[in-house]
Amino acid sequence: MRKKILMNCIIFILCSANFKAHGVNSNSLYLGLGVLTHNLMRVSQNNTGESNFLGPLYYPLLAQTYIDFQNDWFFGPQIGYTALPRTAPDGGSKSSFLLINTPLLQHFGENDEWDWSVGPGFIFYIIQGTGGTTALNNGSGTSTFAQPSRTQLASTISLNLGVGYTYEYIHVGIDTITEGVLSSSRRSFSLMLYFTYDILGGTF
Amino acid sequence: MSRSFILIVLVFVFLRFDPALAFTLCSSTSSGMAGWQTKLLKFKLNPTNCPANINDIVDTAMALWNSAPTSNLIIKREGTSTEVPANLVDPNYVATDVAVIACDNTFSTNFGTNFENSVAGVGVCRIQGGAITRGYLILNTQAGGTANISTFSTTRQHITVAHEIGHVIGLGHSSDQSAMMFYDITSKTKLGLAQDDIDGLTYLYPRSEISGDLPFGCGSVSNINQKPPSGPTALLWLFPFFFIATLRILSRGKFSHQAHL
Repeated sequence: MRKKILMNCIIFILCSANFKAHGVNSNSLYLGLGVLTHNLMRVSQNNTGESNFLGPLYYPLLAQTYIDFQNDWFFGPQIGYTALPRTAPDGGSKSSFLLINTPLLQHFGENDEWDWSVGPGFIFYIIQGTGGTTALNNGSGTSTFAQPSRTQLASTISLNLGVGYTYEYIHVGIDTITEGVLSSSRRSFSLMLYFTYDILGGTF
Repeated sequence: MSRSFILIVLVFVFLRFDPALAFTLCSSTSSGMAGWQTKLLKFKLNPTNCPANINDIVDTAMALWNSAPTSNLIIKREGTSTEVPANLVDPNYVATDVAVIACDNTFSTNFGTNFENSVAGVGVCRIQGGAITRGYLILNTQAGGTANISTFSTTRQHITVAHEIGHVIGLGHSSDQSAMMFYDITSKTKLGLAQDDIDGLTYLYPRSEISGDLPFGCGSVSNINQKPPSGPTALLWLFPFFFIATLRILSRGKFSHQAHL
């Protein structure tokens, strides 16, 4: 699986490298798709309890605009939502993300094709329970356990650092998202790889 | 242009979708139950009959649950208790201390014949008015029992206590084998939470930095034994810059070539 992820990243980089470039179109609307891996190197994904490098994957739909700020600087608010939630095999609950990022970006490169960004983000993590009960082994027999029935919303404020590349109407980027920046116990890293397409061509 | 666009789309199409949530709640009937109605849950420990390193075991296990980034619950050990297992297991008994950890050297008497060989600990939450109001964790320290935690390795002691604490704070078993709350933890060799455990904890104790909880993870306990990803992981901050450097190196030749054209 890691090889597949790595291969995808290589394809992504090669695609980016072959682009002819210029900067993002300000006052336009970019729509696209991202892949977000949450809680890097933190969560176990096997029965031994060992942590994996990658966390769970989500695929947010993204919308972003760029507003001229000063010289090469832009304000680039971005919103993302995982329309396809992670769903339990037993249908017990679903989880999805709503991301609102508010970075400042600066162009650089020969044709201003590159940009780097920094800024806060607001992460809303939504867990939806479907209710009911399920019978599970309890070590000495079988017991009935209730499944969650409510919808819960957790919110964190993150610090995001990213880099992007623009070719004509396409913008690709990768962001490092840090939750719990000031907490030695709860600090968590996530990565989001994304591409977006300027559907208006800088015309609004 | 179109070929590149298709390739980018394929990148996303071929990525995996994870298996997902499977956590349950400690209640057998109440799907709408809530967790403890506090953000700081203090356990009192009765050290009688416990292993000598019980403080370390409990603190390490608690630190694991305190590390969930999307939860606002903090659990800690504070003070000692005089509650005994024989009373705690009585469903009609109302303990003085609301959250208790105790060790039981007569485990088979209190829980059943042969339990001393098959069950290392029991974590229980008691629900009143739709929320957890009391809970206890009893560890098996019966001499001669093969599930006596005093005979376990330190790591397995940590895992056992972490699992039982999970019950006390409101979680039931999970069908996810990678989860700390999976019923059988004998295959675990390292103390760690799965996303399913974090989701369960987040469901019961959601962190809200937009309203109420301090931002950027502030307000966490200071004596955490298990450190979060740090050190080499901090290099992730540099990842975008490695990415820039790689792309610039790859693109330099291409742009020069175009310039000649």
